[in-house]
Amino acid sequence: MLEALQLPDDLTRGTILLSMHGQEHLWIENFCGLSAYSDEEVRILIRDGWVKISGSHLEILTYTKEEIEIAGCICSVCFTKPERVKGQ
Amino acid sequence: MGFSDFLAGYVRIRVSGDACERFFNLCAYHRLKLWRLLPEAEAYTACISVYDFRKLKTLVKKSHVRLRITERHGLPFFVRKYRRRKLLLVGLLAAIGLLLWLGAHVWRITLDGNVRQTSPVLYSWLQENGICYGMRKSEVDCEQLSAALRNAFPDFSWVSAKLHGTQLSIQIREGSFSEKAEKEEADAPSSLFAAHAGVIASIYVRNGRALVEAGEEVEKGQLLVSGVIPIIDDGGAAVNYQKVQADADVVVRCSIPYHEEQAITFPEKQYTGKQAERVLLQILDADFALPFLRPSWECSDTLSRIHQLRLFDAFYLPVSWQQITVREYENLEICHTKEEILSILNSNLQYFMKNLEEKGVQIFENNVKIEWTETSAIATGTLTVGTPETVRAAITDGEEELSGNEYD
Repeated sequence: MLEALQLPDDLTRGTILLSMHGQEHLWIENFCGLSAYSDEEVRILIRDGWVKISGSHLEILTYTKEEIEIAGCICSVCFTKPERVKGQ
Repeated sequence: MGFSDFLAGYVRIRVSGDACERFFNLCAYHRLKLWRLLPEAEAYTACISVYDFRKLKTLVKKSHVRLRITERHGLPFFVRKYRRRKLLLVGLLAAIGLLLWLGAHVWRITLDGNVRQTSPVLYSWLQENGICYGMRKSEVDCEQLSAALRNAFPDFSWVSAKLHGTQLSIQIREGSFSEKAEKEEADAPSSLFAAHAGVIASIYVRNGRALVEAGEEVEKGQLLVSGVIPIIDDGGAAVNYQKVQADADVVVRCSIPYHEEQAITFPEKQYTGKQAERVLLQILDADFALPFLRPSWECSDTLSRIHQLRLFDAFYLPVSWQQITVREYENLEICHTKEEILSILNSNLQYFMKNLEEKGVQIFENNVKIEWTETSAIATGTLTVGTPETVRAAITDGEEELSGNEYD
């Protein structure tokens, strides 16, 4: 039904929304929280796992409930899902 | 960080502990905005507004982190820092007040587009009518000023007055409404008459009827091209007349006199080499000259350059300075050589002929000779020229009769 109504996924399913300008700026919306933060890695919790942003001289320019803005030399953006234990 | 953050004030905090990320998540959950979040050795630093900082106490307790303020920025801290410096505040308010007062007055009036009416004439008219340097902008009615200028100077076909910053710009376009009447008059039927006495060198008629031909001698005021064209029937009689505007290129060969006398000894300006420079500072109507010594020479040339201060594009201030250079000279009676006098007379003659050529006059012969007396040299003679000048006038009754008689 959601597909029939053509509603965006980030509103209906709460999927993460990423916007990137070049290799230096990244905006993330619809995230759950900040898991780890260092100069070379930022890990953001999302609904289905987490997103790992790797690079150098990473800096969080803005951090609010709605949006996080990351600047720096971003090398990779990696999505990871937690492993399911057998029987669950 | 924006201007609103500066006005409200913000601090830079250092967060250390085991659960810093949890602290940040708690801040985000409670809608507290953090920016410039940077990792340091064993800690993080971030910026937060003063208003949000006051809500951090419970979050710090919950996440078991240690918080320390490292920097303070913004207007509240600035005011607190200089709260004892009352004169600074007074000075700031005075500066703002002065700028507001300066911005409410006119400090520069410019004129653009005036040719026949000179700028000093227009400036003195403006002054007589209450438009002057230093008046309040609210007292200037641009529409009324434009209308008053058009009424006072009939030559002006279009006037626009505009206030921009502290500058009043008046743009003028000259050319009176009588041009339309002149144009209408120009389309009326007319004939061409000779402006000078002479011999017709060439005649080419586009419209009208030629009454003279090339080689014929004419008097001044003689009818050359008539605007009356008779309509002839099969029998050769004129049954009607058509009146047109005569149009022709008529070149009349005539002689014009030339006379110029140049004295051998005449006063000439000689600079002594003495020069004084000074700077004149003008604030409102007061002048301050630097240096204060003014040269007292009998004869001198003064060259001044005026610069007016301005803050922005059109925000002129009532402060200007003039760079004045004064050069002393003497009027000495100098006896010139023959070659110098000849050179002056020749150059004046060339200038005269050049002016004639610019008006379309062809110069056929130059019979100007130079005669010498004890005290002067005289260039006298005639120039044989071909002038295209004619006089246009309305068709007279005599012309119709003349046309009728020719074809009867």
